[in-house]
Amino acid sequence: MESCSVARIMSLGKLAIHRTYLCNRIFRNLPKLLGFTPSSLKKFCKVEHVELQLTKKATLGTLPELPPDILMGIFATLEIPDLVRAGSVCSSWRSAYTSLRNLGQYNLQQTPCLLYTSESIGESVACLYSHAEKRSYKLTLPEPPIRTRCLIGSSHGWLVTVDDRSEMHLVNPITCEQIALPSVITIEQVNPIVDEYGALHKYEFSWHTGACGVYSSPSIFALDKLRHELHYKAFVFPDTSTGSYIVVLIHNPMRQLSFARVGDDKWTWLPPYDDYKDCTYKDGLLYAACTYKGELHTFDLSGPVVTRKTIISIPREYECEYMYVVQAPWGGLLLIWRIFEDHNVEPEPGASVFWNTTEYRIYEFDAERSELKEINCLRDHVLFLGHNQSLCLGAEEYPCLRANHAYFTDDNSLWICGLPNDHRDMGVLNLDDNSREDLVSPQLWSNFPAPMWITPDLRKMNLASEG
Amino acid sequence: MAATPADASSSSSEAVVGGEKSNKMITLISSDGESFEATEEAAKMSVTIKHMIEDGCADDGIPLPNVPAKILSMVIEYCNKHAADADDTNKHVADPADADEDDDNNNNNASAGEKEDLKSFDASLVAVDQATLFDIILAANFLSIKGLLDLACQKVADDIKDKSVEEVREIFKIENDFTKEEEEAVRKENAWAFNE
Repeated sequence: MESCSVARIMSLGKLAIHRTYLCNRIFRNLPKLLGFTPSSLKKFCKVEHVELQLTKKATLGTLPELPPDILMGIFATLEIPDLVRAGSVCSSWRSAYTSLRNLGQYNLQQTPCLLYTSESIGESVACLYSHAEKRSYKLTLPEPPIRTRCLIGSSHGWLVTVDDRSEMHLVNPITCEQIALPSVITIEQVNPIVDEYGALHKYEFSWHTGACGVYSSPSIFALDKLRHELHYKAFVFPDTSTGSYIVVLIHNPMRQLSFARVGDDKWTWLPPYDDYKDCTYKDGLLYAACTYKGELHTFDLSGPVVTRKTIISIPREYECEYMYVVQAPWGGLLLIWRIFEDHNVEPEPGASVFWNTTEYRIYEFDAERSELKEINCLRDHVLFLGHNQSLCLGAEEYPCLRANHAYFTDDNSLWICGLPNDHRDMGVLNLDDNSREDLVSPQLWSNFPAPMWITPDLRKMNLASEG
Repeated sequence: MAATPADASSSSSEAVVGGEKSNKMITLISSDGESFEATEEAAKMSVTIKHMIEDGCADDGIPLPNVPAKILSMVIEYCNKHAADADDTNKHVADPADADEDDDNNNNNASAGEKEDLKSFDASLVAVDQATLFDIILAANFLSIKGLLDLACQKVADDIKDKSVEEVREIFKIENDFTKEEEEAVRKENAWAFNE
């Protein structure tokens, strides 16, 4: 009778893989097998760490060890705070965590957190509020202190900040990596003014745009005041062709576009259009919504010369002050308008101004017919809007978030910089009935810099050194 | 290959469901020598066993020296339940032309109910102590049963969530085997995640 040797070999083979597991079991039962009690065994064991292991393992009753690839599979679903803690439990878990991180195989679909600061917590501390855990984490960030900076963007775990010399940086709050972006004086409209010692002491800001026209003469701003005029919103996109990142800046006058690759020494201006409201990056192209012209533009930034195309005309009736361009998980492109209730644009002196968002109007771009189609309900999806890179997420992957809701923060540049002590327009809006709720109660944050959504990320830039 | 003495289970009727599957029984032998029977269909949820059957190695029963009886019976329970579910799905798909709308609704309700049923079965299967859970993971890994492996791993992930490092060590009975220096370095690297 032929016994099945293949099966035996296969099962023995699997035995070899699980020898750690079996060794553990044998080891655990060794005292019993030898007929010793742990204390009598101690007398015979000269090597201290072996002695400790025998007694500890026998009394603690440790579980079988899971192989590294299984541990990695378990950790791959975790949110970053849980993942980081799991990697601190013991050396085998740490090893799995490190491999997972190095391979970039940890969960990239992290739940967006609210990033905010608070006067009482510290000048260099940023807080992250996690919906999943309903708690905040405090992170100490590199200098200059985060509370002295303006926050103008958040993409892929990177914060884009403007410091009190109006210079921009990228900061990853989780890894504390910080990268300086090209100097503000390389922006088309900005020129440095030096004092008698040759030190930079003011900026000259020119009001021209790419369009022909007559402009006021340039204005002079103090180093920390330029940022309240110039910077509007910034985005960080992975540049797949070079493996680096591209930063796109919407800046004044008139919300023009400039961009730079991380590592560049200057910003590249993209005239002639202006009045851009929001950007996104899809399939290697930058999409920018230009409301004055009523168009959606795409830019190919990969070649030596930037090429631009217009892909849709946005009818004038949709024109509105705040608008977002969002990639949907199903591959579509959404254009979303933020509607405010009536407000007093010129309040009496001393009166506070409240901008209240009352509605989001959502349209999907239909590529075939090249038109916008209104969507009344985002069943199974969640929006994150504000100064961050606009997000539309599938609610199923984020059980702690509410489907068909928009989580929004205040990105009204006039009021954020102009009225830093005012209450911020932020909350959760139900897209069905436009009812609105607070994000967290009571308010945890200081009003300046205005809080913003950020998706935590463990990635490091790993800039290649030059020369 | 010499004819093996007819195993009562392997000569059972080739009753056919939907014209594809046989009801041949497979014997699985746990590490502590207990024998379990499973339909070929259920057993084939394990890719490891599926290959052994296809290579003709399963006639005398399949020894599984890594899987104790307690765990093997749970694994078989999972396979039986999920093999039956896969079969039902195939049955529904097989008759798309059933035009009657009521019938369609009934089918949908039935499969929604079955889904709930399966979900709660899965949940109770992994609602066990950590040692058993780890044993299930190791068995599912060894036997290459992806659904069960994912289910059990997700349970471990759920048990890790929102817990402090000390709590995790206690729940999973894990020894802190870092040296003092290592522990300090680890804590320092992501200090923010530990402040409670």
